[in-house]
Amino acid sequence: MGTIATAESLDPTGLTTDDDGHRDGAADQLGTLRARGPWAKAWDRFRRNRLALISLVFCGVLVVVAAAAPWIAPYHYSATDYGSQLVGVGADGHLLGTDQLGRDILSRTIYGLRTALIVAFGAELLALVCALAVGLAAGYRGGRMEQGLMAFTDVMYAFPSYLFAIVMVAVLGRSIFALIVAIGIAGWVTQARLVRAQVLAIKQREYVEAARAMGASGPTIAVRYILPNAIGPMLVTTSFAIPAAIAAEAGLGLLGLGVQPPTPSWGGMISEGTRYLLSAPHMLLAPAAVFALALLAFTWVGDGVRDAFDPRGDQR
Amino acid sequence: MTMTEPRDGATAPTATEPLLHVADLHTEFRREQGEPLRAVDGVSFDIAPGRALAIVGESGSGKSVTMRTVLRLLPRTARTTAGTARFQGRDLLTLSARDMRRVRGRDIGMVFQNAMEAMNPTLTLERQLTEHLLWHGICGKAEAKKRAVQALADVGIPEPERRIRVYPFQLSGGMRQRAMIAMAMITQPALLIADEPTTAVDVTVQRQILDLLAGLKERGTGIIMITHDLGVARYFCDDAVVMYAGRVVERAPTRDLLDTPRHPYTRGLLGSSVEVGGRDRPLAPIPGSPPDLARRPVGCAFHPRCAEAQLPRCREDQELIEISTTRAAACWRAGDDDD
Repeated sequence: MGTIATAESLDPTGLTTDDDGHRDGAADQLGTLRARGPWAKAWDRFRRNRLALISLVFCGVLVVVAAAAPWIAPYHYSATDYGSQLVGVGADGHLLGTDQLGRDILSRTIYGLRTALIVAFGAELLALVCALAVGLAAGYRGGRMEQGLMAFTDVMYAFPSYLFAIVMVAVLGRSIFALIVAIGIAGWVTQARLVRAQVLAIKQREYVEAARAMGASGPTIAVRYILPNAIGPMLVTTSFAIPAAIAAEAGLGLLGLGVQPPTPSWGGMISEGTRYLLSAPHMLLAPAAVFALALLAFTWVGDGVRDAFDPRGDQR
Repeated sequence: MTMTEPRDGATAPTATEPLLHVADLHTEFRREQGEPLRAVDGVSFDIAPGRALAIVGESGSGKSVTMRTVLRLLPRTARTTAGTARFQGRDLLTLSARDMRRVRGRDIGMVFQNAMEAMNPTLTLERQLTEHLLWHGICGKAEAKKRAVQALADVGIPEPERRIRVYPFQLSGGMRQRAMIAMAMITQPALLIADEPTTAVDVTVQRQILDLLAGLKERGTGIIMITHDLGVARYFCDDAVVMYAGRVVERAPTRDLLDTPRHPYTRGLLGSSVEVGGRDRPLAPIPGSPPDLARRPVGCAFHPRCAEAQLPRCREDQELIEISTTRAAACWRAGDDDD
């Protein structure tokens, strides 16, 4: 049992004392009240999970590297060095070697990370906003909105999401924006269904009825009472959807449907690397390794988030 | 700011006019197939300011649905088909949704059975207590906070200005229940509806809760208490209404009801009550179980469980019979029992 849970269970007043022992007049016996909201409790549980914490730090580093790519990458992603094509690891100032056009693999992997994260976070943000809006409206108001959503999700379910993404890229062209829309739209319907299910469950809770009994209006209940209580589970699916979106971006790149070259994407790099697999295996290995590490880290963060929001988490 | 007389005297009802007058209320639930279920079937009662009314009955007798009908908090499958609920001169059942919202929480407060469930786990007590003050435009934010602290102090929560910052799950059960009462009375409603307010708490806390409610009553708040606990009803309520299968079967001042019950069902409830029966009387639970509303017995719904039933008389519908000015019972023999 963690330290937090112990402190609370030992405290018969249900009040927690500040660690710094802050004192204030008459409140001496009680110590200082500290409001530990649901978010703080979730964070406490997340923190106890070492693997998730390390993964979170790693993901943070990835985000920083992606954001600072122009300053960190030793070369521009499309800068070609015709003197040294397909050179191996560590040669000629190219730490991870070069590709068939003499482009620096390290730089391209870093820019590929940038592409992957922009697409993954962009797609998830789009999916989350759509899912919250539609799921909340459908679950709370019901009626035609709900029927429409359910019919739409059934169609989307029946439609293979890769095929859908291919169609989207064909229509919108090979750009980062097209990828965000393609992956985001393929993902939001399932999340909207989840929001709706959450809303339906929370709607039955007594505090929602209590809020109505106190004179709350429909929008107030939806935003102040239902949404905050649905956000935890949504965060869990979102944190699992991010590695899935990273994989989807790479998958489309592998199929030649990623961003327009020469903008690097891991999928595209892996695809090119397979052609030189025997002569220059480093072309494949660098992006594949970083891709795998990134996926693993984001998934472990997702695991940690899931455990943090598990309602039974405190009893362990 | 303390909890004193109810707000604006202009709308305060006169002594002769009840605070809430419910007449001939009918609510039914739609079903997948078959006739709708008549969950509330012709219920009438009055409550005056500063009085407490107990609505007593087994679970499923329609007592909670009755109060939700009055507050118009029914689920979508329910429909109120007839009746009036006059509150401070207006029929709540015909108010616009907007006006109804203004009544809820401001003029009629509600206390729920389980405070843990009835408070939003993501809001601090301060938010929890002040939100409806702000919705109803009763006061501004700073004043609302002052009132919230005062309300917590009024219900006997120590160190209110500190506890106002915590979340509901950080309070003990008794404190939480008191905080919920503070939440319901912070707007100084003229009527408070308490749905089993003492069922989920310890006996020691039960007493504190009842004393709190008694304080409100003295200041003129009308209180309707939904309960299955006859001990609580006797201790706290002036009048009582006994419900069975969606109908009122007996109505009387609480003392009379418990001393000389006129309906066999009321007698049955008393016989199965540990607190009221006392040790000298053996427990005599009512045989059978409450009726399935889908297959309501013909005539008096209680007759299949009634030890004193006489067929075929009990298979006829029985209206409430006025026994005196203050009491009535829905049994054809209710008037004979004078001894």
